[in-house]
Amino acid sequence: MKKQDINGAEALIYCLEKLGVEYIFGYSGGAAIPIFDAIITTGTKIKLILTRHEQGAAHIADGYARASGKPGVILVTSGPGAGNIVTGLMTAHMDSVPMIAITGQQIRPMLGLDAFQEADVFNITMPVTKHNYLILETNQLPEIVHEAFSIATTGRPGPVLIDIPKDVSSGPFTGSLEISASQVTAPKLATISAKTIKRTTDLLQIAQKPVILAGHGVLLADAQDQLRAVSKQFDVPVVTTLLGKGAVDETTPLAYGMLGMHGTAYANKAILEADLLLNIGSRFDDRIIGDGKSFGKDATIVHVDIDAAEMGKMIRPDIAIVADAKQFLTQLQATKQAANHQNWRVRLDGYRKQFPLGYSDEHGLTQQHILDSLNHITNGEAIVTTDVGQHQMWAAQFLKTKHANQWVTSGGAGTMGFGLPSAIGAQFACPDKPVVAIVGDGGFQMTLYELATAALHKLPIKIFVLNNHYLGMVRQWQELFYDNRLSGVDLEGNPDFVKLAESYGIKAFNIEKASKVDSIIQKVMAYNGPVLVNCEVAKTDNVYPMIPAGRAYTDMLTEAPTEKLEKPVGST
Amino acid sequence: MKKDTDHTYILTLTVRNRPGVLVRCAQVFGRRGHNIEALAVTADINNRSFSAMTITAYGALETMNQIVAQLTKLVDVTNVTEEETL
Repeated sequence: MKKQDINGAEALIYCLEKLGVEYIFGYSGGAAIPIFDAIITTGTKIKLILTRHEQGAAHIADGYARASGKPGVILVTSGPGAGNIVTGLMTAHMDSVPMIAITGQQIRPMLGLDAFQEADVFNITMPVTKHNYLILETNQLPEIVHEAFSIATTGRPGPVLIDIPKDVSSGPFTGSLEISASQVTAPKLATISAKTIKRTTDLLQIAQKPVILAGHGVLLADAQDQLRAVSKQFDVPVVTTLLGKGAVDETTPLAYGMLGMHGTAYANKAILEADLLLNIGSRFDDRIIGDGKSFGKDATIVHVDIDAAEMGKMIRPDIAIVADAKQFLTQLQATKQAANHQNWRVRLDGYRKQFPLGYSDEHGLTQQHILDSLNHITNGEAIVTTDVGQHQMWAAQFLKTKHANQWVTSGGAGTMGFGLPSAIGAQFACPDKPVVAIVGDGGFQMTLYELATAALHKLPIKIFVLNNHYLGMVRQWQELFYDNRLSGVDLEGNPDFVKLAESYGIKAFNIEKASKVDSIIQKVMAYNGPVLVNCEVAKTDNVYPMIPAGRAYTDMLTEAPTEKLEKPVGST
Repeated sequence: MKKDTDHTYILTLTVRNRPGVLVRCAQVFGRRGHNIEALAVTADINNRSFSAMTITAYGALETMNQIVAQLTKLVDVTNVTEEETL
C-alpha cells in the first residue's frame, strides 16, 4: 500500500504500531467503523480484543497499564460508546494511570447538531482526562497521537482521549507519518540541588523516629529498587498507601504495611509517633490523613512529588521537593550516607506483635481466612486485582505484595466493577504470571459481562467472589454510624455464581466451609484456565483497624467500638 | 459570599489558542464551586498560536495558590501569574 493511498484511520493505526502498541481493547459502532476497518486493511501486528462493554474495555486497558507499565489503549464509538468509558477514564485519572482512549465521532458537519450518536465527548471527558483532543484535520493525526502518548506517559501519567470524527478517519491522509522527537515536548525536570539532598540526609540521620511513606509515584517512576535500597541504607521503616503496595517487599522487616483508614495498627502508630515523615509519591489522600489538622503535627514533613500542584494541597510540608521519585532516591542513594534507627524499629515491632492482623471463623467463614490462605498458597507471587469495599481493604491487609506492578486496585475513584476487567488486562500484559481477581458480590455484578472475554481468550485468571450478599462496606458504615439502619445494601437476588460462570464455559467452585479453603484454593491455582470461586462468607463482619473518616490517628479503632460513633465529618 | 479572609486576585495566563482552552481553565474554578468575577481573553497579535487570559476572582490565598497550581498543570496553559489587588 502506498502512503498516499491511506486514510486517516490507517495513519492512526500506523502511528499506534510505531509507538509500540500491542493490544487495542475496544467495542465498535458506526462512527468507529473506519478505524476498526483499518486494523484489517493495514495488516497491523496490533491485536484487537473485542470486549463486551466499553467500561470493561477501559478497565481492561487500565489493568494492562498497571501490570505492564505501558499505556493501555482503548477504541470505542461515539455517543454512548464514549459515555460508557467515562468511569474508566476517571478511574485511571484519579490513580495516574497512562491510557489512550480513541473515540469515534460524528462527521464534522454534524458536530453540535444533535446528530445520531453525537455527544460532546470533548467537553464531557475534559475533567476525567489529563488532556484530550478533538481532531479536525486528517493530517493532524500523527502529531496529535504522538503528543497524546507523550502526555499520557510522562510527568504524572494519566489518560488522554482523542476524539476522531468519521470523516476525519475516513478522509485521505496526505501528511507525513514521520514525527521527529523535537515536535513532541516532554516536561523537563530540574535536577534536585545538592543542598536539598543534604538537608534530607541530615534529617534522616538526626531523626529518632523517621518513616518513609511510599505512594504510587514510586511505582510509576519505576523506583522500587531505589526505595528499597534507601530504606535499608538509612534504616527507615516504610509504610505504603493502598496504591503504593509493591514499592517495598511487604514480607521484609522494614515494611509495615498500608497506612490510613484501614491500614495496619503498626503503620498508623508509626505515623502517629514519627518525628520525620518522608512522603515519596503519595498525594496525602483524605483516606490517609484522616484529620488534616492533626496529621503529622509532631513530624518534619518532606514531600517529594512530580506534580507541583500536590505541594500543600492537603498537608503543608516543611520541605517540598518537586521531582521524579527515581531521580530523588537515586541521588539519596549516591550520598553513601547511612543511619541506624534500631530503637525505633524495635518499638514498631512491639506494635506489630501487640496489634497483629487477625480473624476468627467463629461467626462463619471470613474473607480474611480466604485471603490469608491465598497469600500462603500463591507465596505472594500472584498479580492481584480487586474491586472496592471491605474485601479490597482485607486484601490490602492480608495479601503481602512483594513486587512492583503486582497489586492492581482502584484507589482514588473507588470504582466498583474494576476487579474482573482489570484482571483480564493484567493477564494480557503478563501471560505467564498467575493473576487473581478478588471481587465482592456487588462489584462483580457490575462488570461480569467480561467473563466472556476471559473465556474466549482462555485467560487463566482466578476469580474469587467474596460473597457476603451485602454491599459490605456501606453496611459497616450503617452499622457503626447510622444505628444499623440498613438501607439499600442487601443484595438479595444474587444469581448462582457457579452456574453463571459455567454458562460461559468457565470452571467454577463453591467454598462454604473453612476446612475446605486450602484444598480448593490449591486446586484452583493449579488449574490451567479461567476459574471462578464463589466464597460464601460471614455476612456482617467489619474491617478493622479503622480510623473513621476525617478523624485523627489517635481515634483509631483496632476492634469493634463499645460506644456509638459520631457520624463522619471532614470527608465522606 | 465574600469572607473576611478573601481577597481579590488577578490571574494572568498565557494559553495555547486551541479549542476548549477556556473551558479547561473555567473547570478548575467550577469543580470547587468557585466563581470567576471577571474574565478577558485577548489574542496575541504577534503570535496567533497563543492568547492572554485575565481572570479576576475572590478567595483565600491558599485556595488561590492551589487554583494557580492546577491551572499551571494544564497542557494548554503555558504561564500563570497571580497578583493580589486592593
